Order: sequence, then structure tokens, then C-alpha cells
Amino acid sequence: MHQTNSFKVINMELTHIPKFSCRVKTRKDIEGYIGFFQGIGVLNLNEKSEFIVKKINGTNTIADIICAYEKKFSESSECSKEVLEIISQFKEAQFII
Amino acid sequence: MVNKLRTLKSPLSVNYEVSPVCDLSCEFCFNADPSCKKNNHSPFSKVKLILDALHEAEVFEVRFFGGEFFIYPYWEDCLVYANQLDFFLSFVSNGTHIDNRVAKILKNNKICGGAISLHGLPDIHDKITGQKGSFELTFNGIRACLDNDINISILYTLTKSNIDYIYPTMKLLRERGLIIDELNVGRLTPYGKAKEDWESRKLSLADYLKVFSKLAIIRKDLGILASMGDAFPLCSLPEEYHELVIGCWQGTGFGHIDYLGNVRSCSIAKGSYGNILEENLVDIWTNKLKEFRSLSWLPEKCRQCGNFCGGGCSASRYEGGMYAPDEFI
Repeated sequence: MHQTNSFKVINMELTHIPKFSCRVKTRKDIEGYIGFFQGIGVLNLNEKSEFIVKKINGTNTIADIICAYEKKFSESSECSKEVLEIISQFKEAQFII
Repeated sequence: MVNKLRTLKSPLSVNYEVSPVCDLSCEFCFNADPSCKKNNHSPFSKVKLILDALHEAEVFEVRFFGGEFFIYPYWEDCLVYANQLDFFLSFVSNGTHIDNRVAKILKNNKICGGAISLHGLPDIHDKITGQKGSFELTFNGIRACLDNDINISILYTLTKSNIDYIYPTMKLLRERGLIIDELNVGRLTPYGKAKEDWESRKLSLADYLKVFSKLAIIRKDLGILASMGDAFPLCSLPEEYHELVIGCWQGTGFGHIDYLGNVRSCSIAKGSYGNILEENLVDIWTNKLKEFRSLSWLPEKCRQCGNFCGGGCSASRYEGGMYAPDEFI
């Protein structure tokens, strides 16, 4: 899953706790990362989306994820937007409940 | 643009043939090795080493495979150990040994889906498996899984004797109260027992085209996601059937490990790219399958195809060895 500037961001409360609809594992591969969503499919991930996938653990709120993302990718000036875009993509694809 | 397959560091999902031993004798079984009829199960210590090697290579999913997984004396220990390693787990079985107790153990080990072979109406299935009453045992196994919220995909290997009974079989299951979501028909391939007398056994393209029309009807009438579970060359099919082909990801995301630890890219075709008890799976997967992934063995029209489907099933051609172009291209 890659970020796109044109992707519609779904309105989500920062206190919302996103959760995947299935078990998920990721790994670093020869090119980038791979996410395995049990019973659903496989996605290519970049470093940033893989980081977010790992943070969606049924405990972290969106605010927690943005905070962790800001620490990890401090060079980015649009952390909130990037996190929300990626979570929105998962939600639209119904990977997130 | 020349097509080629992507190299991953290791398979994402494997069929792991824990034991070659099986108590049925399906007339087309890809395994004609005498070891499948003897009780020469692998020691559990070897199973653990193989699972450790898969874990080290970061394989995500293990599908317990056979032979028949549930007659392996330590099948329950396999589940517990694999679960400790945090694999996603599934199974492929003939279903005859699954009852409510077994299904509960599966569920307790986080198994939420599996595949069970069923090859036709009762008389046809029993004749194919060589065991009278096997249909009922398999039926009960499917029911036990469904009763325990384990999704089951039916595997239906096509033969001349059952090719006309796919719809009646699925309808019978429905009438007897089994709500199946998924059916995958499998191609008859010239390996193992099916290789014997192949000329009289093999199915023609016209036979398969008939099957595709039935799959479409099953989807429409019964609401079952009926598909061709194996690869099929799309250029030989009308476009309306393309969505019915699941395809195959062997050699990239999918691999097969036999009971000795030999690595293959396909569960049907024989041979070995290396043994994971002797070599690192990542080394085997990245280095030994280069030629396969280059697709240099496929016809030029496949390598250049803009609607690349993988070139069909590489285990479908007689005397095809570890891989060969599909029999219909």
C-alpha cells in the first residue's frame, strides 16, 4: 500500500482505536515490506505504512499512532495527514473495522 | 516488456507435508510413492526442526498437508508447536478423521479455515478414494468444522467420472444442511497415480470449458464462490470465465515442503530445490528458483503477454518434470 496525495481521508476521531478485521503479520523483504492479512490477502508496504500496520494493534488510538509516527519519521512535515491517509486506505478496503 | 516472476526472500505460505502416509487411495493421487502406504511417519523432532526453519525464514502461513495430516500420530503437537511459533495455520485434509473433538482442537489453536477434499456424489467419491463410506466420513468432518466456526473450502479434483457431478454434489451438501462458502476444483495432473494410463484419463480443453460453465452456475444459483483452484491459461478461455480462475503463486509467494524437508514450488510436481534441514530456506528460495522465475521455459507468447496469467499450470504437462508450459498452450 502506497500513499497517494489524492486519496480521500475518512473523517476519524483521534480517540478512535482502529483494529484490523483479521490477524496481520509483516516482514521486511528483498524489496520493501510485505503485509500478510490472514484470509484476505497480501499487500506490498513501504516503511511508513508497515510502521502504521504494526501500530494498529487494537490498543493504540489514532492519536497514539500519529505520535509514534512523528517520533519515528520526524523529517516529515505532514505526519498526521500521512497517518490518516494510510489508515483511510485500510478502512476503505475494509481491512479495518 | 518481458514478464518474469518476483523474487521474495522466502515463501509467504507453504503446504507442509508433515507425513506422506494416507489411509485413502484416491485414483489420481499425485503421490504414488510406496511410502504413503507404510507407517513411516517422520519423527516429531524432525517436524519441529522443519517448523523452526520455516519460522527463521519468516514464512507467514503453514498449511498442514499430507498424506493425511490427521493420521500423523503427533498432529496435535504439531499444531501446538506451530502456534507457539505464531504461524497462521490452516490444513488440507480428506476430512475422514475430523470430528467435533478434533475441530475443537483446531479452533483452540487459532485455525479458522481449512480445505477438505470431496470428489463427487457418495458413490463416485467412494469409488475414487477406494474406500466405501468415505463420503460420509468426509461429510461429517466438514460438518464438525463448520459447527466449530472453521471455514471449509471444498477441493474437488476433476476426473472423467466426476466432471459432470460438480453441481449435484454441491447441491447435495446444501440439501443436507452444509453451508459451504467456497469450492475449488483442481486440475487432473499427470503425476503419481494419475500418470498411469494418462492418455485415457486426461481431460480435454472442451471438458474444462464445460466445468467453467458449471462453476459460473454454482456461483449464481448456490451462492458458493466456485473457482478453478489451479492455474489455467487465460488465453484459452472466454473472457467471461477469467474471474473464475484463482491462479497460482508458486515459486514466489507459495512453496511446498515435503516430510523430509525438501523444498518445491508446487505440491504436485516432484523434485527438490534443496532441503531446509541442510540449507537455509532463504538461500534456496532466492538462488535455486532463478530459472523458474525467469520464465525462460515458457513460450515467447506468454513471456510477452500483456495479460500475464503465469502461463497456466506448470504441473499439467505429461513428463513435465518440476515445471513445464501448460498442456493447453
